[in-house]
Amino acid sequence: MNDPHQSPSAPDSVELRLRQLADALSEQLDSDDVRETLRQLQPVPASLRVMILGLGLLLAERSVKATAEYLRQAPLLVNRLGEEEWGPWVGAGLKIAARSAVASVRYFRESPQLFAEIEAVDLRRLVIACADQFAEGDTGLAMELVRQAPAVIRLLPSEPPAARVELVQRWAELGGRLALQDSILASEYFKQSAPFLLHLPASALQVWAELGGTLVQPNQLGKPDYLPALEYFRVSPEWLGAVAPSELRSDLLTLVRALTDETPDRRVALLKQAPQWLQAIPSASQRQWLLERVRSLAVESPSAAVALLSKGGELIRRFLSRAPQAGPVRTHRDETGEQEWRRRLDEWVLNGRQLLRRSPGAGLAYFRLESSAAEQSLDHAAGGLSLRQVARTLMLFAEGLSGYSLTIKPIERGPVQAGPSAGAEGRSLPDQLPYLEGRTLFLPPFVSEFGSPDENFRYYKVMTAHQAAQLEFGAFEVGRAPLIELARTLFGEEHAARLASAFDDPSITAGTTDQALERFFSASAAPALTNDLWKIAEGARIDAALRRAYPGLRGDLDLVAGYTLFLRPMIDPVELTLEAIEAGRGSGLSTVEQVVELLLQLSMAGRTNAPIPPALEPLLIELGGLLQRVQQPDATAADSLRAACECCLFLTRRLTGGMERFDPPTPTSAQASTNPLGQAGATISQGEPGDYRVLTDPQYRGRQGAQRGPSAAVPLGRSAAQQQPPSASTSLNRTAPHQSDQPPGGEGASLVTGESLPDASPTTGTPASAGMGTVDRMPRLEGGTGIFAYPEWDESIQDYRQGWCTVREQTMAAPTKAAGGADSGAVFIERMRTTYRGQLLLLRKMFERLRPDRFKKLKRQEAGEEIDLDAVIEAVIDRRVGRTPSSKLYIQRDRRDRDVAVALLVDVSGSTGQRLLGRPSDHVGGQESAPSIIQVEQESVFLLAEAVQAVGDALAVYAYSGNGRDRVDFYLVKEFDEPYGPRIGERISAMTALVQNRDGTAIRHATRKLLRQEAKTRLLLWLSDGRPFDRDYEGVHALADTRRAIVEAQRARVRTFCITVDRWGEEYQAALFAPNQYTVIDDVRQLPERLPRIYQRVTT
Amino acid sequence: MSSRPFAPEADIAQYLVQQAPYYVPVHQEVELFETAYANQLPVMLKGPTGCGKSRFVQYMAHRLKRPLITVACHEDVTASDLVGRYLLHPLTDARRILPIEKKAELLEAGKEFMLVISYNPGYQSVVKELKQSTKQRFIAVDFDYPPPDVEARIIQHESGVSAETAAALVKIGEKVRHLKQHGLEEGVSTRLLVYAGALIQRGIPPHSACEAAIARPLTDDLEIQRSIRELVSAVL
Ligand SMILES: Nc1ncnc2c1ncn2[C@@H]1O[C@H](COP(=O)(O)OP(=O)(O)OP(=O)(O)O)[C@@H](O)[C@H]1O
Ligand SMILES: [Mg+2]
Repeated sequence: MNDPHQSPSAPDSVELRLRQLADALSEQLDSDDVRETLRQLQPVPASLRVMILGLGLLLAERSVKATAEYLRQAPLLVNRLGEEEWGPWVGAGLKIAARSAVASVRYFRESPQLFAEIEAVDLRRLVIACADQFAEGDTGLAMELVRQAPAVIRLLPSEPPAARVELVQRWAELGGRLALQDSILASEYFKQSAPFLLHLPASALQVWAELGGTLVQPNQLGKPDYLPALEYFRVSPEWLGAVAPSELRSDLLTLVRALTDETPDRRVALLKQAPQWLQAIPSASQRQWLLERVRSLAVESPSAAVALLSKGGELIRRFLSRAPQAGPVRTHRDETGEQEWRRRLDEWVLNGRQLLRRSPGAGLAYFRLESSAAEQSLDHAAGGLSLRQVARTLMLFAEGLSGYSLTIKPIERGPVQAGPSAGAEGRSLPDQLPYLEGRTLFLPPFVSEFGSPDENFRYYKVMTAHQAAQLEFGAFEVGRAPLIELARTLFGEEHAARLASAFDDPSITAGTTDQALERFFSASAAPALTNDLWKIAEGARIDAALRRAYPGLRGDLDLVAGYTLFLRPMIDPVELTLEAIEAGRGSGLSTVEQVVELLLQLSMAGRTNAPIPPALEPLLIELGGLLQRVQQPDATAADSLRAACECCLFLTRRLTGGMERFDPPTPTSAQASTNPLGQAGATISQGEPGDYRVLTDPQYRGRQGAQRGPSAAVPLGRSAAQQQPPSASTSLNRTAPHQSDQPPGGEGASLVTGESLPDASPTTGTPASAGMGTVDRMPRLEGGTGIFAYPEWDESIQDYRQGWCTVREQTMAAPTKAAGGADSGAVFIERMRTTYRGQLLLLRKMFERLRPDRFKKLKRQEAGEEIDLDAVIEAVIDRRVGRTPSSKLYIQRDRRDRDVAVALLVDVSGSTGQRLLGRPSDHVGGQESAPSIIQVEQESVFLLAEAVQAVGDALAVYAYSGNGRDRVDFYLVKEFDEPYGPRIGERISAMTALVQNRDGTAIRHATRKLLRQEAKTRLLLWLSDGRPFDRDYEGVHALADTRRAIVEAQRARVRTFCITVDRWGEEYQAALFAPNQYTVIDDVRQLPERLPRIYQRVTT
Repeated sequence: MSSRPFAPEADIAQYLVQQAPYYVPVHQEVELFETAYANQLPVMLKGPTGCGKSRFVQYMAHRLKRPLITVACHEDVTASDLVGRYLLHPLTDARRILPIEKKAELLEAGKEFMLVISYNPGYQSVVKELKQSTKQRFIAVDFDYPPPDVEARIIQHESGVSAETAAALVKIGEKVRHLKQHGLEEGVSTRLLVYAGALIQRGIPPHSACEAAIARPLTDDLEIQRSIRELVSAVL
């Protein structure tokens, strides 16, 4: 034993003391244990041994068991803890022991292991000191601190050491603060600290702990509720860990901490969802931007901030989807892409904040991306314009110009393109070309080519005008005679005859025109080239016609043509020698392609986007001369076709023979080539120049010559006789190969469709900007039903919330078998027929009289074609005897045309299940026998349906109820085109009281269905049972929306009439309708009798 | 019950049309009207508002040298106020009598008496359509907006604008009338085009004139107004 620590000075006294201590301890503990400890402590200096045992003795006063543990662990720890640390360590243990022996046993058992993991002395000391402090309050907490400390320390940055000490101190302090609230909370905090530090920096500890503290709030009993906070500590590290980049994690915490208005549960939920929301945003800088904005917004309105956070991904996605393509007009040219989108999105946020200040509700709707204000602002921020906003204006504009009835739909977006590429392919197709299909004009859903909404609108206008002009000026329509004539001139008699036979072939009907053109082109040596040239010629002709007819559009055309020119491939003039041209250098285009391209550019803008290669100039002058004629006022599509053929002949003659034979044309050769008849035979053999690649259609002129199909638009103003019969006109069905695999906008799924979008359809008058533009048609469900989205008016924000309500349309299910085994539907019909036999007969009579019947004579009428002799005699007698004579002296033949479509819309919300309490006088069978409102409604509807049969009006019966805006159930009891029969009766009998009523949405849907009916009079007859009421749909809001829906219907020229069976209905009906548009029936039992009469009154 | 000839209750001469009204015949309406007059047949002028019906009647009254008494039937006068009962039916058929119930009088129409009614079909609702029994008592003369060249002449004459401006206004009229089926209840009338011309003639910039005389009177729908504005600026 060679112990350097052993002090030689007073060994005896130390040894003595040791022995005394050992004895004292042995009195309380197992003496063997003590002896063993002493044996193990042999290497330790005696003075230390004395201290160890002395403290042990002190401890023994508190707890024998703890002392035993202490002695067992002491030898293990003695090499680790310095002499100065030993005291505090045991001191803390003593404190713990004073409160809980068990805890102190644990303390002494575990701590050696733990302290072994903490290398630095100062940190060990600190932890011990902290434990000592906590021990005064809660021993468990002290223990937890010690347990977690090593892991925490390991996760802290080791440099500089002093900073680490400070951090540990903070860590413990934060726990201490939490402990003041609740020690379980603090304990959870300690436990989760290490996982937390795995994902976040120590600097975030404070926010994390503080947020946890604020999550404790009193529950309903007034006691603090710790659960959200505990859950928070337990799971937040993992959630936060999902946020990338990691710097955003503490930002997110800071944000949630700021949301002091939210309930703890919501804040925890938010913290859970936010990482998912953020993950949906692809770029880190966008996420960063979002959180920054969200945080500053939180100062103003936490809920708006949450809204922005949750919708941020969508916002950015929508913004980018309309983000500007590379265009000539950029407002801030010098900024980077990143700066630009930041600035633009900031603008959007700023608008929202201003709105928020004016009206919190509107601001909230804005940040939730619900309101149309948000949409418009987004358009604006993106520097563009949505078709949705201007669809109706454009539709009316196109109609005004062309006189054709048109519908406007958005072009379905293909895979997102980086912009019109003029890269290697040179001629790739921009996917947003406008085109006409039947009566439908397809336009890009969004344009941002120009810097301002105004210019973008002009762009839309030019696209629309050009397409409308294609109709107005008969683009690509060549009549039979001119086509045959042209064929004769160009290709000879034989071909003309073959063409004529194509027209005469009776087996070819609708496709004739295309086939005729096909045959026409088949004779051409270069069909693709001819086709391109024809497009150019037609484009030029239409442009010229537009400019002539509408001088006001010239500026717009210039603007757009200039832009379109910018997008065209450039033909590099510099080193374009003939060899270079031949080699197709520069633009990647062949010579013919270059010439065609330049010709197109000249035809659009009168110039090219780069100086014309001198070598090509003479050629272009020549071609320009040939095209001149199509710009004359009386030029037709046939003229264009002729010019195109001539250009083609000229080009093939000049270029395919090889460049060595190329010589600039002399002025006279222009004249020669205008009469290509002589060269016809020679040309045909020359064939298509090389593998000619077809031209990309220019932006504003759109996809030209797209097939217009059999449903060719019918001009509004012209009579049928003035129209050319389809077989005598032709339209070109030739599209570029890469166009054909691009399907035209699908019917059902498009955003703006004629049927599903009232604002662009000709029949309604709702402003698109007010949000009617969002009726998305979703996939159909089986059974001819579907799901529809409608906007809802929010009075408080003075705006529509778009796509807010979902209508589920379904056929009313036939009733199940009744208890008796009989079909309950049949039972109902049977009962109705017997109970109301007399009434039904009467009603039929009454309704029959409404039927236009030329042979029917109505006697004793106020007016009529014939005098009713009987009545006149009676009147004369009356007068003679001094009575007032009747004025009904005529026989009337009523031949009024009746063209009426009526939608009966029945509210079947829960309140209709209410039974009617009989009045005392007719209270017979007790309450069970009293009918419910719904039963009375059923009977009334049945009687009406039966009666309407007699007059033959188009009648539809719909019932509606629902639960919340996502679920407005719309039941088809009878559709307009369904014949009336037992099945309908059964469905009527199946109407039952359901849930709630969101009236506005139901009215909108019924209106829409009504508008599909071709009838002179369209009537929406609404059978209401009471106030509109649904989840988030009551009071002023519900009333305002319902009124709005009614106004929308009326604007679309649907008449509305409401019958309400609510005794107290008067007041709100008066708010909704003009006095002659509603009636209140305060005794529902009168309904069966009155409904048919009301019907009669309002439809005549 | 007395029966006496249709006696004037006021000085009928004051209803004579003194100055020849400006009227450009469009079809055969003048001949048709004269024949009806000669045969004592009542005439019904059908056509959209502001297309020259009243002007035509004035013109014919002057031409036939007959006093012209006009009864305005505004929106709230119902058919039975006027044409039902004893009022018009017996007067318009072969009987040519007008019973006046209150006075227990029966007036007989003189040879030169002629009844002309004018109405705008189309935008009345089903309820307010004229009864067949009323309609079928008249010779009907259909009016429509004059053909472009005639309309241009009218506008030029009435407002004093240049032939060029008149032609532009006619073109605007044509375009706006295309909207009738969908946005507008009725196309723009010749009357409004004349108004627009008058404003332009008095120095109002053409765009503003069309705004005030065409876009705004025609509709309250802001989008339709905008479309009209676009049409106007396309043409001008
Ligand atoms: N054929 C025409 N000749 C001359 N002026 C015409 C003619 N047609 C229309 N006008 C012009 O149109 C204006 C309106 O015509 P007018 O007042 O006769 O309309 P209206 O058909 O009677 O309309 P309403 O049905 O509203 O009474 C006239 O003042 C006149 O300036
Ligand atoms: Mg008039």
